[in-house]
Amino acid sequence: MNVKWLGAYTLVLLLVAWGYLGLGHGDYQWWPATALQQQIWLEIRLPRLILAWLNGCALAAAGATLQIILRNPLAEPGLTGVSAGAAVLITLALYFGWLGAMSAWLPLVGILGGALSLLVLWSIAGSQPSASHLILAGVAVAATAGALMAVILNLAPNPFAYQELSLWLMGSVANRGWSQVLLLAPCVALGGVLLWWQRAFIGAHIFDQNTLMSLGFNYAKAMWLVLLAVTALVAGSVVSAGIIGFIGLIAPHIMRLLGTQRPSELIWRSAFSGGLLLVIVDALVKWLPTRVELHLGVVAAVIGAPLLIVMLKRYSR
Amino acid sequence: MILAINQLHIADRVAMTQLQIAEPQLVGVIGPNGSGKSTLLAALAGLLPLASGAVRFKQHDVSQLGAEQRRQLISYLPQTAAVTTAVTVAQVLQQGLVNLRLPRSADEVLAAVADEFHLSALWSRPITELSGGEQRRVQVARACLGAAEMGLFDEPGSGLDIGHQLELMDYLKARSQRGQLIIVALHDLALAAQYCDRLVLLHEGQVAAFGSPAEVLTDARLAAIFGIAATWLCNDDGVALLAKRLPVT
Repeated sequence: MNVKWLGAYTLVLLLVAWGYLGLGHGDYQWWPATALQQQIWLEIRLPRLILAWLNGCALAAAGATLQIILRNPLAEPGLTGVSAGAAVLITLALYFGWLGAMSAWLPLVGILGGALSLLVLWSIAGSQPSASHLILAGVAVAATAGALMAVILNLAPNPFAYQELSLWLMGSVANRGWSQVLLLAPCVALGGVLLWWQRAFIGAHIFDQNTLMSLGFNYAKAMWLVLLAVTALVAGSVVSAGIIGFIGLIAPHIMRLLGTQRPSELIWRSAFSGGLLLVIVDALVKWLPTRVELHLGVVAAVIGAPLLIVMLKRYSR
Repeated sequence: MILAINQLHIADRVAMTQLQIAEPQLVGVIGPNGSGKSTLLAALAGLLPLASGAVRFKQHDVSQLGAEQRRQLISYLPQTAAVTTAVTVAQVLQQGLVNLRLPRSADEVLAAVADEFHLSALWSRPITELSGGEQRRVQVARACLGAAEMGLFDEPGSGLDIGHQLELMDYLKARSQRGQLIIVALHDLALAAQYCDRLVLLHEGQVAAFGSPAEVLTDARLAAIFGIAATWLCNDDGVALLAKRLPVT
């Protein structure tokens, strides 16, 4: 069944990718015929496609994982304050020009920010956090980070800096290249390996907390490894594309509605569908004839928020 | 001595000076609501930190056991065990094998438990669609996977019909006779009297009595602790309890 699923997914992804690569200004290009077109396909559109896909995968995997371990269907990367923490430190680094010419180190700053918010989370929630405790702590951390971000934007030295920061916060994969893909890929690899390593622990979250505690896991260690994985995934995404909401929330819900319930399957299927979803949304961003190109995070929110309402109505029925 | 509890204090809830169980048997933990039954079982399972004292099971200090080692030795069914994800019964039990060292193949263990608890008809149904009693049977089956030497069951029969309750008690009794120490928290005093080799009667976090059912379930204790006047009906088939509430003095 998994082989079938993967086969069908690959086929759809390839078709969407082909459709995506041909999209651009002017006539649709079915194939890069000239050297210039080839360069555009390989240097601009392909990295953007891969960046969108990897971002979708990272955010959806992080979202599905958080929903499972927090036993809360509304959990998403924003909830633990990790994305906001990463964003605050990145904004500060850009604002004060800490890195100068070494902007390649930006993901590390993002991961540091994500890890810092995780540490604050740890100090609030304790070393063996219950799900509800973790959510409350996450909301507090996210609110603090949001307040800091507002201060930074408020104190922006000039309107251009303000605009640049707020546009970046909206989330986008436009005007990026292979360097951003190389920033994100190691984070996705780290997160993926950690999630794979802890798959038995994540899978056991179908049970209530007391049963789970009796199943022979080193709970604190396993929990923090999983949270580290989520941090790496989210920080990588924030660094490479800003804040893109809703994908982490919507992708797992779509997979659940399609009948995937087992935690282990839910995570990787959500990841793959999240990737596909974000590629489709980014294709929409490129295709919509707006005066200024819309930001990916904005379009994801415009589509995702109503979808969330529909889903919630369906669940409550 | 296979289980020895000494000067045990659990978070201001339960205090036990001494409790010793010499051999594998079926031990019932009884007491009114809030007397500390679940707290005691959770502490024995190693889930609650002990404020002081020690629990020794065979040669092990339970609070010093690593999670993995505890998993092999002790199985635990919490009072409010629940699966809220719509996975199938088969998937629940498969997941219940996690971290267990099995003497046989996983498929054989699952087939045996499906047979023992008559779960074959429910096998591929989502657990969230089952009735409360059916879900409880799956949970009990989950706690019976593996070959733990001590089984802790917190009101395993809650939500089960009388036939399944008796079947469950027969099963737990048989397991205890095969060398497992089974400790089960019960509200049904007749079932406790009928099946258990020893009873621990808890009252306000303290052991009010420990011994055989006949020694523990005296009229005076039932009146003082449960506030009932009891009449017992016993024959070879079973035990029933007729109870009348005493006026509160």
